[in-house]
Amino acid sequence: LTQRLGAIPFQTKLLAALLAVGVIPVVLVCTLLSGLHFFQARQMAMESLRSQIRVVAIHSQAALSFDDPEAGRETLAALAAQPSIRWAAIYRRSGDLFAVYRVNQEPLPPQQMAGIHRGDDGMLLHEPVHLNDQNLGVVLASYSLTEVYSQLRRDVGLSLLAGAVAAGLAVVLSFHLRRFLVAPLRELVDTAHRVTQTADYSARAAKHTQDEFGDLTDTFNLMLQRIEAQDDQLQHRHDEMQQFLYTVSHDLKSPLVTISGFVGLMREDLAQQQYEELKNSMEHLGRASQHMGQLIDDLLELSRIGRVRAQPEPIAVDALVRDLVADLRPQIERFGPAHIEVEPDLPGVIADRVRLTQVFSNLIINALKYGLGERAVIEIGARRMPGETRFFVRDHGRGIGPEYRQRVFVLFQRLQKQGEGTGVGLTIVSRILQSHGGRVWLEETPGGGATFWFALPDQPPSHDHPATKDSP
Amino acid sequence: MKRLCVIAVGVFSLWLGQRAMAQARDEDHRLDKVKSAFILNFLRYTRWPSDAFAHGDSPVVVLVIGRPDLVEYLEQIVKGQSIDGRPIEVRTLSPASMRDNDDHWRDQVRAAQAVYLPRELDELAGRLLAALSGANVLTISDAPGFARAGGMLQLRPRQDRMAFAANISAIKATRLEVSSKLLKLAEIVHGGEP
Repeated sequence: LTQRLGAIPFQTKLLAALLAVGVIPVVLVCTLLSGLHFFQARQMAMESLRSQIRVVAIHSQAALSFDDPEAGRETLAALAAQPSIRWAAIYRRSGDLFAVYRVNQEPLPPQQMAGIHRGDDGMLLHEPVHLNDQNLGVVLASYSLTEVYSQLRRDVGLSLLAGAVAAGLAVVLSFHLRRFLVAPLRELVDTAHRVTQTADYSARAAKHTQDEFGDLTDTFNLMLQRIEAQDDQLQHRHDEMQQFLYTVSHDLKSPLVTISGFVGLMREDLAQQQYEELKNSMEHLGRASQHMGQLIDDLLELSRIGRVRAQPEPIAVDALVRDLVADLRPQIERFGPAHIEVEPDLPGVIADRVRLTQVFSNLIINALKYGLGERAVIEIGARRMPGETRFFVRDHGRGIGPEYRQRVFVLFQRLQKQGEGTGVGLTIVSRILQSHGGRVWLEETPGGGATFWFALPDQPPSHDHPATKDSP
Repeated sequence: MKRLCVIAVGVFSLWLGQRAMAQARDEDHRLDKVKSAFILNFLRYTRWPSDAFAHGDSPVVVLVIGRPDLVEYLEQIVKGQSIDGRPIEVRTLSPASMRDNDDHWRDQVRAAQAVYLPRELDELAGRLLAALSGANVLTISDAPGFARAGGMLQLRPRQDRMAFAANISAIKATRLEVSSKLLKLAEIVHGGEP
């Protein structure tokens, strides 16, 4: 039974509950009241009848004593006030009919009291007439409680009517409640079905109410939104992974191609005993393997950003940059006569010290590699903005065209195929800033050149909810 | 033949007359029975003041003047009957004694609770009522005009039933209590000495 009940739709259950709650008490109360009313009315009618018959019996004494049937009829005529009496009769002690009263069409009582069978319908009142101790006769009255029964019928009718009205109200109410109870539920169930069948996580359930259902709908939609985001992210990562695998294998392959090419050349050179060429080839070989090593080192570094995290700490960026510039002195000199200008009093931030150093280092080296033009000056500065601090590294070289300003941050994307860059440095910068909840972008330097901006938020994201969307 | 017819008619007339007389006698007997029953019922619907009796267990005395045959019926009817625990006693008074001038009969009627005067002796009504003036004695008679003359209850035989009249002022002049149930059935008559 419980199983069968469980299979009934919610709306039907709701209707049933409303009907039960609405109709049962009404019918119960009405039935109770009708019953009570009926029994009371019957009791009262019977009392009234009995007392009236008793009065008639008392008043019949003299009539019977003095054998005055006319007086007996007069006494009985008082019963006309009782519409429930069908007939009434006074019988003598001998059993002969003495006086009679009857309502118009009612049959006459028998002439002899012996002809009356008491208990035929039980609707017979019997009151002896006494004078002192002497039995004079008896008053018999046949009655029918039609009034009382018609009242009961009316009461029952009214009860049924009240029950029907209650049922009608319950049905109307259930249709109204359907808007607030069933419709939101239905909407949720339908949406869940749709999502399950089509795996379309962009579906949303419409919100109808502000109650718990509305709450549930919101939560359900939020859940769908999360799933959708995760789904998108998963797809994105999958694409990224594909791209990454392709790029890595491609970029790792090119030094290998170089190596195997030179190995072939060297084999020929060895056969022909051309040692000068051999030495040249070996230098190429060394550079290629070094490049490959660098590539692998950079990739390792990149993967470490996602995996290894240090606690952010307050950093005096001014000191950090000046130390870094001092440390980079040998490399700066290697790239040529360059001057690095650092704005005074750079503001402090909260960040991972090693990674922040890496960001500045990569950007400075990037500027040294590609941004040294006629004005060999690299400027480093900062701007305080609401909620974040922005730093820039500016060069006055050839600059980077607008179409490449996004691509420079993509893994292995290089603007020049020659040179020793691996195409990982700016990707590392971008990844570090992501992990700090910040961002990096590229602008053109007024008068030519590239300006790399990066912003760090005043409140670094907590580690529990990494903003980093790590990719390998 | 003619004589024979006359004789036959004579015999037949005689037989008819005898039969009518017998019928009248039967009718008188029946009336006497009914009257006796009524007298008893009158007693039943009447209350006497307690000083109307000599003792707590004194009987209710009904005095019948003359008519020993009626006394017979009455005695049959009241046999074993009682009123408020008192037995009923029927006494007789000879009308001849009432014609005497001594007061003995007056004491006799005043000592009774009810007195019945038959219609055959209605010329004695005036004397009787005068003797009972102010006494708590129920006066009953079937003499026409008895109630109007100051008697309390008067039987009036009708064709189909026995009716009766009551003189309420005569009853009220004494301390007798005659039930309103009885008075309701009576024809109310006024007159006589209050």
